[in-house]
Amino acid sequence: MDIRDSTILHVTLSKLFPFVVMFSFYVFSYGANYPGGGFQAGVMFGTIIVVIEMVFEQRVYGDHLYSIIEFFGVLILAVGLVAGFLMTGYGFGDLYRLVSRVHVFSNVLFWILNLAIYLEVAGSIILIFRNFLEWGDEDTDL
Amino acid sequence: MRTRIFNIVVAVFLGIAAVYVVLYLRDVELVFHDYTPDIVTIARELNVRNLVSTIYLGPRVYDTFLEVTVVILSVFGMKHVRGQR
Repeated sequence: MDIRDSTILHVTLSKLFPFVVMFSFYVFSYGANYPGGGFQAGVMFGTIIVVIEMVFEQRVYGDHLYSIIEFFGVLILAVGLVAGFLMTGYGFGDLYRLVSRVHVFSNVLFWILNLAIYLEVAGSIILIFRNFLEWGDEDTDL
Repeated sequence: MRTRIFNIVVAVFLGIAAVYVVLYLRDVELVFHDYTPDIVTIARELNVRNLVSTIYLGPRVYDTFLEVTVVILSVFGMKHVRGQR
């Protein structure tokens, strides 16, 4: 029996999926104050999508969506960088002063940067692994 | 056609980088700092508790931006190499 036919794996993954996604949101949202950050959260999200695709042998949305997610991540970073330069002459500039008492937004720019990195890394991880998997399939077919 | 354009863009980019390194970085003076920035003070000013985040999204934010760019380039690179096979 192939490991991908395992009912335990199917049920566990389908039940774990929403919790992993929620935890990844938590990890990037509180990255400024607790261990974690955008990169770790993005890898977490990307990994669960890749594992689900490998086990269920079907795509969770197309490449186009993840390319858009990746693009938005980079766009947020680029806009912050340029806005900072225009305002103060150095990257992200006075945006660092956007602080609040709310724990999750203790520093608004940190939250935005973590979000940007999260989107970018999540999209990239999924696209990279999809390319590897399809590449492997092409080699097997030859 | 698309692959050729990509190759040309990469070649131009690497050429510019090589010229920059050879012409502009040869007289760069190396400075060894005998102090480290007070990260705790920076973290307090930014209202952030995670010191690792303070470093990589604070003083080293350009590094973070470039690291993210490397990940994107790896996606483009993989697509490019697969397209050639």
